[in-house]
Amino acid sequence: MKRFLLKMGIYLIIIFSVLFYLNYRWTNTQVYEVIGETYRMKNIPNEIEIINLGSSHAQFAIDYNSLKEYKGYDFSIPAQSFMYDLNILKQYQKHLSDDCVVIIPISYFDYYEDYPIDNVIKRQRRFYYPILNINRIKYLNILDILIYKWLPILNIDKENLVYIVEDDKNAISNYERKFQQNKYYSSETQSIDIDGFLFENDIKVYGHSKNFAKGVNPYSIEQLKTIVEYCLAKGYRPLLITTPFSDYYNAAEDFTEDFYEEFYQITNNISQQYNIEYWDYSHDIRFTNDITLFYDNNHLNKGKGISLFSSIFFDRLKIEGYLK
Amino acid sequence: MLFNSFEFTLFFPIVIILYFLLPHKFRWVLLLLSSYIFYMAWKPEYIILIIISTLIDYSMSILMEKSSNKRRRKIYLLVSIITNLGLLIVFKYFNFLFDSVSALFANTDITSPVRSFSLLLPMGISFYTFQTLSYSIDVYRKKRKVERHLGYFALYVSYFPQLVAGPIERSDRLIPQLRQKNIFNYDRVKQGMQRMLWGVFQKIIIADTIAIVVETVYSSPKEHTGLSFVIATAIFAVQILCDFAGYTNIAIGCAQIMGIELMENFRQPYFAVSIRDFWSRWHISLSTWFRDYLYIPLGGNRVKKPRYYFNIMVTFLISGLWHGANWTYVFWGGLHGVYSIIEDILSSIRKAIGLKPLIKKPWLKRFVSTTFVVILVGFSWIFFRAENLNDAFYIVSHLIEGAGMWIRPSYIKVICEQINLDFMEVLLPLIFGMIVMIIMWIQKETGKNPYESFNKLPTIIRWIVYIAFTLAIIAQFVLSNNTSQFIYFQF
Repeated sequence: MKRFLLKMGIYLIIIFSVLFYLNYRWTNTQVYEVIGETYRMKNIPNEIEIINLGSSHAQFAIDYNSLKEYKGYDFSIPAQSFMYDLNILKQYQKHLSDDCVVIIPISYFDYYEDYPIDNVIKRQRRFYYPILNINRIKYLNILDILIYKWLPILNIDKENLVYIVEDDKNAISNYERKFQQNKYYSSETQSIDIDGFLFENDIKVYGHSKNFAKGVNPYSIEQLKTIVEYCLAKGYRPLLITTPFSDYYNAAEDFTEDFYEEFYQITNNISQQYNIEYWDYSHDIRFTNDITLFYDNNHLNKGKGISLFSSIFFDRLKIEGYLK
Repeated sequence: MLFNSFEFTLFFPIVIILYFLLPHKFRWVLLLLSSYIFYMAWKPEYIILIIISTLIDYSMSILMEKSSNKRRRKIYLLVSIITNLGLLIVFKYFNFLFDSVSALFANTDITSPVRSFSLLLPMGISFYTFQTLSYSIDVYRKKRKVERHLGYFALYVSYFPQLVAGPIERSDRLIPQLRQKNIFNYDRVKQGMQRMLWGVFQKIIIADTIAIVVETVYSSPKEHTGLSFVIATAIFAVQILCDFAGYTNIAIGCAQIMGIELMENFRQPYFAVSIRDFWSRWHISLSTWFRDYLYIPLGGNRVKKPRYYFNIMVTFLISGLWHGANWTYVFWGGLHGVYSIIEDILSSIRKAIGLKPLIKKPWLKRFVSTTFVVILVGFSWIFFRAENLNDAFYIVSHLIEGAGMWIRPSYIKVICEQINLDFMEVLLPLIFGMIVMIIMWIQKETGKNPYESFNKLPTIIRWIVYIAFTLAIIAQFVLSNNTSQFIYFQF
């Protein structure tokens, strides 16, 4: 038995040494940081005066680089639900100043998230393993912890194997650059690919509205309220917003009058209940009909779009007294 | 729980550690609980079917032993058979029967008298029902004594290494081994682990990587042509062997670690020199089951020729149906029945007219026979793999389409691209796997144990093999991003 255990021990040490070495190489590549967007959660400063939570809609709308005189930080992650907004906020609250402004973006799909069974939500967890404590990640199992937290090498895609040997040193800058213009707009001919937008409507809106039939999820609303209550209890100043969307997106078939009525009723009720403001830019005509401001039909681009919105948004924050 | 899943890599070491730590008298409890957990990891509620099968067969066998009245004994046996076959029919064949009956009534005004319903096929139901049926029949035939310990009997029905895809064990082999006290034996455990590693390698590196070619062609046969069908069918012949033999190797290796010797299910099947020989090498536990509980009771070969051929056809047709509720499997079984009958007729004619063998050299004769058997078996796999009979007949009717171009390198290249036959990802594992398998087969054919031969290699080489195989399995597991089910789980 001793001989067997000794040999098994040596065998496991060799296997895990190889795996941990490869894992070390992989998690130190820029490509890995781009895939999990972990590069955005590095070097978080202290005494932050304004942050935003939210999904990619916020990520593509708010740029704190133009807010030189204040410390701001973007905690949004693609498809981030209120549940993870809350956990991000709790995990990183020690970095916030006492009266930090907390922007809580609300997207059309947020009240309809199907938490316990939605595979998208489950898949999203991979974003959180490197940046959240394990106990803040919902519905986890030991296999997920192994492959997302301890050994992300076990989750690598075939096409990324090459980066273990040699990293792409421009991966992050290329990734950021990719979103600077509208992918359906040609600046040379000044024309847009309408079919592309309509196709986006088919695929994106379906993704955003796929749970509409199940109705509003009370858990989502409860999580949003908990975020607001947490902010108020800590002395932070919460602000609800919806980022600009294009007319194409707003006019999508699934976003019916009944949907808008329900969406605004819930949002306004929360706003009134906690006496906090809700700024809705979703139908703001300064953005909605200018396709050159968008990356696709529901995200501003990281060029003109994010600059214009950030400028308008920060100015209003200053005027309304959120930023002093 | 799948053998090739992460859950099993945690489950199995825990079971083994507890197995060797526990006193012998408690081991059956551990193994029974582990077996139920193993099964319930897939669909917990279906454990009830195993429990029903266990309790009915346990009680009927005790009643059979107590009773000296032949008629009563027969009734007890019938209860056991009806229960087990009833479970099989309800869960596996009901919708098949419904569809077939509906097809009969399709062109008439009569409404089909039966209705279909949606039920998930319980994993391994064909295996454990057959295993427990063999026990009841043996008790009825007074071939074995009744197992009075319900725990050991329940363990015999549900022993996890062979629960979902065999080998279908006989009670007189397995129960005494389960009762036997096993101590930790280094060499036995080592060989068991080597066998498991080889089984996982066969499944993940060979079967799963080459499956893409088969899936590409067989999922949409109308988009492909002759050479694609030939390549995909040849690859499927390797895939199904590696998939099923891989499972069997893992099962046998698992049991071997615990000191239990499961029966061999494969004996170099593609080295067979006749169809009869093939069936003595392929899925041995099933073919011997059908031999003992269907073919011989029907009269076997000790009857007149027409009846003998009838017995062969019935056995193969039912064997085909056992594999799945689809006419493709029935046709596949029937085809093997026809092969066997023709083989017997030709052999009888040859003997009757005293025809001497055309080929004199034994090795050449064997090579030709083996090649011929492989082609016949390969052809039958078309029916086994096709989604339905229409697809199967389409493939058969287009099998040699464009044969004139098959030797053109440019044509071969186009076909390889069409069917996803990538050199690095498919061909390399296939060639490597086949070389290792053929070496092992040759060793076995010459009476050697390939694992013992492997253990005679220098330590450094053995360790390189262990590490390389393990890393290759992990890499393939990771890159494929999924855990694929074993083909035979659906049966």
